[in-house]
Parts: sequence; structure tokens; C-alpha cells
Amino acid sequence: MSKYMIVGNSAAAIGAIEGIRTVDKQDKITVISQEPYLCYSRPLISYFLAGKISGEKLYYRGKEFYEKNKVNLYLGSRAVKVNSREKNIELEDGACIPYQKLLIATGSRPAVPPVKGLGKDGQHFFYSLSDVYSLRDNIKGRERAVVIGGGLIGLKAAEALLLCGLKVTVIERSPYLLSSILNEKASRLLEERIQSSGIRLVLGNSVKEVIGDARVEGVTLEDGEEIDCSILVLAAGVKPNTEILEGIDAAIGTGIQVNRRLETSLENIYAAGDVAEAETLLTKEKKVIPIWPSAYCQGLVAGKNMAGIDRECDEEFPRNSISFFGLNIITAGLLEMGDKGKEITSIDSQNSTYQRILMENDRVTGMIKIGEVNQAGIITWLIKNKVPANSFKELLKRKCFNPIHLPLSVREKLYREEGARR
Amino acid sequence: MGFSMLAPEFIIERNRDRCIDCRVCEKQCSMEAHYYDPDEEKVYSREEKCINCHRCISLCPTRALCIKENPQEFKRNANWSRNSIREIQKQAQTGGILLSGMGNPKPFPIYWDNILLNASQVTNPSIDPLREPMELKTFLGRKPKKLELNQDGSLKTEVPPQLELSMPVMFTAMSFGSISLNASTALAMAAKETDICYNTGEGGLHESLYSYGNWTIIQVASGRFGVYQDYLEAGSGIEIKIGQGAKPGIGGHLPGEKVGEEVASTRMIPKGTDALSPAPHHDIYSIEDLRQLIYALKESTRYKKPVSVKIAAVHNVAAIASGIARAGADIITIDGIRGGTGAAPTRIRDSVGIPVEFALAAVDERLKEEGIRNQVSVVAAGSIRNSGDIVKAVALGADAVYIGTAALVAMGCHLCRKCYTGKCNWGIATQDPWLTKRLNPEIAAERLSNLIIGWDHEFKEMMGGMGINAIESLKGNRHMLRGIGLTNRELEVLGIKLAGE
Amino acid sequence: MTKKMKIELREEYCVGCGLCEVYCRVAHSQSRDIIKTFKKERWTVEPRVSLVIEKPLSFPLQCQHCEDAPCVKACITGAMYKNELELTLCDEDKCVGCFTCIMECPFGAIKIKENNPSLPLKCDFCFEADEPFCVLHCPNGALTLKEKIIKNVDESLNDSIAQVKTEEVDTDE
Repeated sequence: MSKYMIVGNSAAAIGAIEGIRTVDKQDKITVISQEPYLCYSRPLISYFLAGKISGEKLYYRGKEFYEKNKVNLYLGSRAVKVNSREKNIELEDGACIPYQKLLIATGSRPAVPPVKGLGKDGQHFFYSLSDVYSLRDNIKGRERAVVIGGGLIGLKAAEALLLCGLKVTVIERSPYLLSSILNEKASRLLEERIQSSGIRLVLGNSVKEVIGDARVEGVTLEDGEEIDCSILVLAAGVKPNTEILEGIDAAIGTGIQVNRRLETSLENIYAAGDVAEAETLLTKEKKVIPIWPSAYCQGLVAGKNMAGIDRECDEEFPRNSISFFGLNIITAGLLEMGDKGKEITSIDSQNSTYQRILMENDRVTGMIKIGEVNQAGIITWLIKNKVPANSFKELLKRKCFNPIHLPLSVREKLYREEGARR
Repeated sequence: MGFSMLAPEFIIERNRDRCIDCRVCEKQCSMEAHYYDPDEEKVYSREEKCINCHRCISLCPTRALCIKENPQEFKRNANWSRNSIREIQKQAQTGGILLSGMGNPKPFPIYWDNILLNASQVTNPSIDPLREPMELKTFLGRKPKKLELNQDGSLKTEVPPQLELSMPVMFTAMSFGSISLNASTALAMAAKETDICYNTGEGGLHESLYSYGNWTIIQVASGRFGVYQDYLEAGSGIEIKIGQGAKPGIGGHLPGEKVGEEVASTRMIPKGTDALSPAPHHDIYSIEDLRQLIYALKESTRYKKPVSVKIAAVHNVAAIASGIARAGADIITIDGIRGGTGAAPTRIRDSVGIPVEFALAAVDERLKEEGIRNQVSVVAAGSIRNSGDIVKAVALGADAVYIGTAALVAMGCHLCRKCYTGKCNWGIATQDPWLTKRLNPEIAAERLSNLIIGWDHEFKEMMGGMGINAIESLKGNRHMLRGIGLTNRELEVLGIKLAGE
Repeated sequence: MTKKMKIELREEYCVGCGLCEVYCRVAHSQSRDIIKTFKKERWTVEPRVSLVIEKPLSFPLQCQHCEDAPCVKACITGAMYKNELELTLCDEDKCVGCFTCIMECPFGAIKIKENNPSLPLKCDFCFEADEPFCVLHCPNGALTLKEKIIKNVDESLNDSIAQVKTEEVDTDE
């Protein structure tokens, strides 16, 4: 029996393996992976579809990673249940594998939108490598695609499909794209860029029904419009895979609730990544923050705690870095501000550059940067460390805000602490 | 009027094969003599702004730049030189007095170069400084007429306070305000490292430099800037500044723009006000008044520190020096006409005063004649350029010398002589924080120490060559000097024989 | 304990000349000759440090090769990694240019290549050379090489030291 068991094989799992190995070099780790692949970087699947990267580049760590770290890897194995009293997990085929310390890193799965007529041939999610493999086969000879969902995943899928030569339409329910991380002004800049690439955007609308018999032939929108297509991609949100803890008395909200040591309410059971719900930095409420850096860091700290030393994870906050058709976007922190909040905006329409910084109570709480994203990390740092910012808030207007604009004491703190941080 | 008659003084030659348009020259020139054209993506120059400070040349990574005197010629005229014409054009344009930085550049003779040293041949053999101990240690202060010993051999006579130097060189008075704090710090650090002294000048002593007190001579000048009890206690010697070789007879003026936070607090004047040093000390109108000040300073420091008086070398310098010695001074500093300055009216700098070589010889001779040479140490200043000058100065009668320009050149000064603009590109004669950064005190102090160490070795070589191993045997030893290219009268005043005699 | 070399910045001595940027390009050029780099390779070699000036301040923004590098932890492809000398390096073959590293770097030390927009650019310690060019050519001692002793990332080593300490205290009694 191995001491450590990890259900899941993505960012959080790798983080946990690396975290465990900084403490315990000996005891074996077992990884149960539902997907039949070595850990790959999920955000890369759109690059893979578009042919921008080859299969080799998909893998997050090298092929020797598991062997080097003494990991027993069960690929293509689904864990269905945790028996917390017996301290084992039950696989789909009935096998029960015992554990001493367990990490649930099952991530999330794509949500199914409330649309009639789903399940036809030509319909795909855009979440896992398998989705992309089947999509890649299916689009041969096809002309038109519709993507349901104008969020991060939907737009990346649309971009990839366009690069594969299809005519693409994106249907988004909100009045503008990426409404969970961008404000309207910023979103319109993105809209312009996407539309000029040839993708059709339908905003403030949603799909009512899928047309066709066995195959997808088109979609009908709420307002009655019909759009022809032979490929349908569902990218309407994700749900954390918390089912594995069903039936046991675990604290589950949207995701599995964890404390700062990534411990769940059950002894010896941890959770990290897209499935975990932890206290967030800015609003203090417990939320799932489904981003890669957060998953890895949570996994790392969970691993260390599992191996017996006491470490706390930083409180997380939402942040994203993506680009579409050459337009770089970096966002961090909150999208809205309270009554006492202030907004600092700078626009350069000639260069499609937009920057918006939110401040409240002397702290920076949010950032949106479009176009010019160099040195965005310094604002991320201000948000993360709750640095008092009133003394230099005028300078935050600058597109090129960087450490030289900080007061000397703040800058000294930055260079002294961040560089040496453990 | 929309045009200037003043053609650029210098031309900037940019070798386009070597210039990589890296913009380093543009970034570094405080006079904005280089600029970048983003359309052409090339660097160009505005020659009328160039002051030939060599900053761009030193930093250019491909040695693409060369600055030359503008060969633009006036019609040949032995009387109306180019400079004379330009000076009138300047004054006609501005109506102001002509200001200059650094020392007198006029081409009258440099007397050090007309003095030759002796060496031992056969009799009184040379001493090898690498094998024998050579004593350069110098004590500045009043020496008693004779020494009395106790029965047990201990010293009975009370010796007045002395300044101890590892060799007979000190860094001269350059005020914080005329030079940057980084420059002052470098001088202090180097003085400590080489165990000599530096002089604060009339700008007071910045609080960060109090720890170098043992190697500091603090100056009390006519403006009395920064003078208070702690200041007097801080140094190992005190200097009353009566005059300065570059501008005898007039006072000093530091413009308000240069009086920033630190300068103001060190000088104890309001920020942004002009720092005016009056021509005379307004409480010294006679030699008795000077005596009163000397003893007031001695009283307030409990007779623990030697008091020096600095005068410019002027016509009656010997008589003045005698008076000062009798007034109670322990050290007399004589600053010759070649002495440097941050800013002085050009006419005064070039025409007022006499060369320190003559002044030194005259003072030493007079004090010896009057039998009071032991009462004071004499320090010579005013363009000591190398160790040869120091040896000659000591032989002429100096106990030690001050170096000013030489120290600045060691730190990076290229003698562009625009100190009064406050835009010194080397971070020396400026208070602009963007420019003062350029003088890294650690690097500058190392360069100064290197200079002193190099000169120390050369001094010992020359002394050893004369068969002398202790500086006491060189002091005032005119027999070691001969003159060349000097008139009989000049030889007489210097008190040295002609080469061959 | 591991020893590593670190570039120490003293901003009070940076004169804003930009020679660090100039020589960074030379160090990463094909020709390694300064004139050839600028005349022939100007559009293909970019500096990996950025001089920022806000008079009277100036200094180069440069990768600090952090022990606990946020860019390495956040990199979605694993392209950002720490090598045996504890330097933070980017494997360009693995990188897809998502710029999550730029989002995480608190020093603003990573920038996007201007002539190949998909890749991040940052200090690589001059290919792990003995003395990086920026340090070698800084005219005023603002950039110097310092040897630094860093705590081991390996927790078990630290904890075993902690254990030993406890034992010693007990026996003292």
C-alpha cells in the first residue's frame, strides 16, 4: 500500500507529487487518473487543435516524471467512491485501494447547457484531450461550427476552429464576451478583434434547440434565428467533480471545502485544484478559483501537509492571462468595486490598449490590461499583498507602471521579500 | 534678437561606421548635446551645447565619438585671440560678469617645471625605498623651540596639538554645495583609507561624515556656514579661511538652486537661499581680530586641535604670514593663483594673486629669518599636479601640500570648467540627484587612494634617489633644487641655485 | 544549503546609461561583436533587461531568479523551470506564449518579444556564464555579482535540522 493517494492527474496532482517529494523522498505515491494520458496542460488543447503545437509539447512534465518520483500511475481508471472509515477508494471496476493520506484533485467537468436536442453526432465538449482528438477527426470536410459559450474555453475553441478553416459562430448569453472577467469597455475591444478575424459573434442570445436527426445540422436561437452548422461545441461553464465524496459527511459547497492547509472536513483527506473551494483573498468568501497557477500551488501545499509538515497556502484570487488573435489580455482580482471604490482607466484606442485598475480602501483590488500587458505582474503583486497604494495611485494610470513608481520602502520590501520567498 | 554670434566652441565627430545608435550618449549628456531622432532611428548632436566633458566619449561602447575644438578660425590676430573675442561677444549678449570654473588656465610659466631635483651619485649614496624604511610621516602644527626630557627619558615639554599624516598630502577645501555629497564622501573615505586628511571647505560637515572626523579638517569661513560646537569638535583640525587662490579678495556665492535640502541643513541656512560668503570675515578687520578668532576657536576646543589659517598668495604674503604666525596660528595654508574653484569671476581668477612657488619660498624664508619658522607648519596649495611638484614644494619649504584639481580629476573630472552650471556630468560639481548618482563613492574613493598610493611610492623613489630617507631632511632643503629657464631674480626669490651651480 | 550567484542591484548607483541593455543584446547575439550586433542583428536580438527611468531614479528591471519563483509555479506548460544552479530559465520549445508568467512576475522582469510576439523574454544569466555581460559592463557598480547562500527548497533537510535541535535541548536538561 502506498502512503499517498491522489485522485486526479492534472496540475494539482503534479503539484502535490512535487510537494510531497520536497519532504518525503521514499514513500510511494499512487495516482488514479480517469484520463488515459500522462499529465498534460489542459489550456493547451486549443493550440493542439489548431496545429500550433505537436503532441509532445502537451505534456506538463517529462515522460520520466512519474518513475523519477516513485509514482504508481493508474491511467484510465475512474475512482467512484471514497470509503473514509475503511480508508480506501473504490474504482469503477470494483477494486478498493487503501490510502493513508488522500488528495482529491478530480478537477471539474463541462456543464451541460439547458438546450433541447443534445446528444447528436457532431456535438463535442472542449475540455479534455479526448474531446479534442474526436473533434479533430470530426471536422475533416466540415464547413460550419457553432460554439455555445463566449467564455475563456468557448473563445479559445472558436479561435482554434477558425484556424482549422471552419466558419465559426459564437453564441453568448451575456451582452458581451468574457463577462466574468472583463468589463464592457474592455470586452468591446476584444469583440472588435475577434470579429475582424471572421468569427461571427451573437451576443445576448442563447441556443434553444439543436436541429438535425442523427447528426447536428444547425441550431435555433431563443429569438428564432436559425444557424446552419455541422459541428457544435458546448463550452457553457464547468462543474467541480465533487461526487466522489457523496454520501459521506464532507463539507461541500460548490466545490469541496478546504482550509488553508487544503484539508477537507474529513481526516486525512485533502482537496486541491478546480474541485476545491477555499477562502479567497479579496472578498473572504469561499470560492472555487479554477485557474492553473492556483491548482498547482494548492497541490504543492497539500502535498507538503500530507507529508507531515505544516504549511499554509496563500489565499487565492482570480487571475487570467490569455490572448486571442494576437490581442493579449491579463486580468486579476475583482471585476466590481464597492461604493468607496475608485476606477483608474487609461485608453489608447490607436493601439487597442486598455487598462483599468480598481482601488478600494487604499488597496488595489482589480486589474484589466488589454493590448499592453508587460509588467502586469507588479499589479498582481499589489493586489496579492494588499499594498497600501494611495501614495502612488496617480502613477497607476501609466500603462508601463512598474517597480520604479513604487515608494522606496515598498520597492525595498518587494526586492527583499519576493526574491527570497520560500 | 534671434541669433547668436557665438559659434559652437567644440565640434562632435561621430564615426557612423562605429556608431550603433545605442543612445547611451544621449541618455548621459546633461547638456542635451545629443538627441535621438525616432524617425531616422539615429542619434544626432547639437554641438552648440557641448562642453567637452568627455562623458559621452568615456561611455560610448564603440568609441565612435571624438570631440575637437571647433577649427572655425578668426582672422589671425596675435592681440585679439579667439578667447578675447568670444568673451566680449558673451558679455555683449548677456551683460553679466564672466564666470569660470577650475583654476587659471593662462599660459604663464609653471614654475614647478622649471625646478629640478638632485640625485645621489657616488657620495651620500641613494637609498632603495623597497629595502629601507622611508619616513614620510608628517606632523602639522606648532613645534616647540626646544624639547626637554625628564630624568626617566619621558618628554617634559608639552607639545601643542599636531595633525598626523601618513604622507605630506591632503585633500583641499571643497565645500559640500560646490561639490556633491557623494564626492565629499569619497574624499573622506579616501582620507581615512590612506591616513591623511581632507578639508570640509566652507559648506559645513554633513552628518553622515562625522564618523570620518579623525581625518577631517573643518573650515570656518567668512560665511560661518554650519559652524557650531559639535562641528568644531568633529574634526582633528580647524581652518580659518581668509582667502582662496582662485579668487583672492572676494567672497563666494553659491546660487540658491544648488542649495537643496541637505546642503541647506548642513550649512544651516534656509533651503533655496543663496549662500553668500562675504569678502572679509566681518569680525576680522585687523591682525588682532584674527588672533581673537584663533584663540576663541582654541578655547572652545580646549586647545586640543591645531588651528590653521588659509590665505591666498598675494603680494605681501610673507609679511602677512609672519603676522598670522605671531597671531597664534599653528598652520598656515598658502593658496596660489593656479588654485581651483567651483565658480569665480574670470578676470579675478586670471589676474589676481601670485604663483604658490614664489609665495612658498618667500614665506618660508621670512619665517626662518624671523626665527619663528617652528611656530607654524606651512601648507602649499594651488595646482599641485603630481608627486614631483610635492617633492619640490617640500624642498622649497612646505610641510605638506593640498591637492584639489588633482583629486577631482582622479574622481572623474575632465576639466571642462563648467562647474558653475551645476550640471557636472561626472556627478562632482552638482547637486542634481540624477547626476550625483554617477559618482559612486566606493569607486571614487578607491581611485583617490590609488592616486595617493602611487604618489607615495614615487615620492619615496625620488627621496631615496637623493639619499634621503626621512622627510624632515627634505623639508626646506633648497640645496636639493636647481632652477632652469629662470631669470636671476626668479632664482633669487625662490632661493635656489641655477642648474650647473 | 546551496550557494548561488545573484546579480545585486544598487539603484542609488544606476546612472541610466543603458549599457546593460546594449551588452545584453551583444551577449545573446550570433556574432558577439557589438558593432555587428547592432548593425546586422538589430531586429533579431532584443535585450532581456529593461531600463526604467523616472528621474532622478533609474534601474534595470531584471529577473531575480527567485528561489520560490512564481513564474515557475504558474507556468501552464512547464516551460519555466529552475536548473541545477538555481537559475530560472525558459525552455522555448515548450513555451506557447500564454504569458501567465508575465501575470505572476512581481518584478516586471519578463517581457514579450517584439519581433516574435509569441514568446516571453527574460534574463538567463547569459547562458549560465561566469559573469553576465550587464554586470561586467555596468560603469558605476550598480550591478554586482554576489554569492548568496539560500535555504534548501528540500523541506525534509530543514526539518531534520529542526529535529536535531529539539533533541539537543532535551539532553541539556
